[in-house]
Amino acid sequence: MNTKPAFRFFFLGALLCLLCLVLNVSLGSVAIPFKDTLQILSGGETATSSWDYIVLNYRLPKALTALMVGSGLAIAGLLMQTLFRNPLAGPFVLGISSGASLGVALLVLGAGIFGGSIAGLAFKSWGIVAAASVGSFLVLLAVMAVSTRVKDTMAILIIGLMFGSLTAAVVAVMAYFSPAEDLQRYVFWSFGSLGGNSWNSIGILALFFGLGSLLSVANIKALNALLLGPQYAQSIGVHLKRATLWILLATCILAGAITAFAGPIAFVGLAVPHLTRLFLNTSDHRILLPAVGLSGAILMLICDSIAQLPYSELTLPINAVTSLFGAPVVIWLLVRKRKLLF
Amino acid sequence: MAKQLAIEIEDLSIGYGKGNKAFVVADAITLKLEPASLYGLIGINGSGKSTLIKTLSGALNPLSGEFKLQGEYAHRLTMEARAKMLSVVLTKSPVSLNLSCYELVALGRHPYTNWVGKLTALDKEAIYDALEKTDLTAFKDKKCYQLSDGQLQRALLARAIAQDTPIIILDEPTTHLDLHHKFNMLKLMHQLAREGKTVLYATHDLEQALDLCDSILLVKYKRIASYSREKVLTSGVLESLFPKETVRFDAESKRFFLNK
Repeated sequence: MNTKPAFRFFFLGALLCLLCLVLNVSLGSVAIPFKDTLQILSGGETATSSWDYIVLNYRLPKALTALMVGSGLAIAGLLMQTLFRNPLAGPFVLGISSGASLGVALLVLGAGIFGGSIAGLAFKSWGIVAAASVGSFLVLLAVMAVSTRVKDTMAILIIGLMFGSLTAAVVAVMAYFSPAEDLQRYVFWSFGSLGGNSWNSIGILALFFGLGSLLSVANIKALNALLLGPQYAQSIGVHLKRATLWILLATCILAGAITAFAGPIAFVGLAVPHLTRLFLNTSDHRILLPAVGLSGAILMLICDSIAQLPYSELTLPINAVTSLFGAPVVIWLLVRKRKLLF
Repeated sequence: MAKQLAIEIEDLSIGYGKGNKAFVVADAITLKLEPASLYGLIGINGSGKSTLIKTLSGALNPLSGEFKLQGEYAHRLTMEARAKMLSVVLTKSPVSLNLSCYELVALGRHPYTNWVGKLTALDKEAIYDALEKTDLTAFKDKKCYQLSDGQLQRALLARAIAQDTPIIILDEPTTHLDLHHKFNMLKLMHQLAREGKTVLYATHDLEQALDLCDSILLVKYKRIASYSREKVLTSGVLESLFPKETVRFDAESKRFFLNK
């Protein structure tokens, strides 16, 4: 295995990531000179104290959220593509994001409809995180249960999509019976947003992100074995059921928590692993996993920088930007490479 | 001390499903497979060759009965211990064709590597040995999708060789190959058996199997029986393997003929 291109990739990637992070923090609806942003970030103070506040308590948390969201979703996508042996798999396609949406909808909208004790939970951020994680885990379990019976991976993807529209339908029905303000809360969550998280929620997100990443790294060996297919993997000593469960758990923690904090963000999970493979031309998860995480972070920081429309007071929903950016990239890839390898 | 048997099967019943719904593919299987031997597993389509291979490799649980690998009951072995005893070459190609030939073979070292799969000098030696043996050293950096069918099949065998197990089981390794690559595979398997390994392969190329194998395992009417090379010719089982109106077997020339 040639490690040189990988080394270059990580070196340049880390630099680029840092650059994007600083760029992301320096942009926003309030114009703060680049020099002052750097000064605040390095611990200094500027003449305008509101700038300090904006950078440290609004922009920096948002940039860090973008970093973790992009990285985590991309890793989740990679895990799904390997586990389901399908280049089209991703948190979105397999209905994981829909599951998270259903969880959040049950909590936020259900609070209005049923009232009572869940109403209290709905306003705590960890309540939403838990709901999204449980929701995504249940949908994924259902997809898994079906996939043990159906051997065709294409069928599994279609089943994932069906689960997606099923949960969407349940959400729609609940939305119909919900009071306007609950509905608005849910709709805003579903647009996707990286901002508005306190340092406390960042801490919770970081905890889940760290846990999910750690689990993914712990499964690198099994993931590589799965590149051969399940039967081969078993024959070289992989405990198939156990490995599948751990990988699914890692995906759920990552995708579930991220969807809870940032809303259902499309495309990153599907597109980033393919982009990274194209650059590195390897399927070895020892290189691919960290590389995909790094690329996801960079991409999300760029998308978020675009979303806040520099020099204007408008902010686009992050979901729109990732799709606007992601869809052409995947189309271009397919046209150029003709087939997606994984 | 008697020679350690590679595989010992006693009153094994194989098939799919559980309990009342179980579908029995073959039962009352009692076989003894010895080291340093080449076994050909033959039988018509759907007779249960793949089921036996799946059961022996641990992908499928037996319906009843048990079997020993290297003298130890298979169901008591950990996945890792089993992976150090028995390696497989399946009919399916690997899922990811983006693996390089070297990476594919390197995955054979999986049972020996650490938690992240780091290859030691010893592992690398085994990989290069396997590549050398299968004549693939020049192709080691090629991606699997760039290899021909014959090369890919050899690479899969190289992966099994790198796994360094006393038993290698192959499911139809010569199907879809031209004569040159087919014979190449057979030669390799024969050579591995001479080196002391137990090699069992399922095949539809009966004539080559009759020429090359030390013993033939015949799957027929839900039974699996072992015949030595001489015995299989004289016992008359091959004559009745196929319907008489289409296939005729000539024991003298060891060839099958089309009945016109």
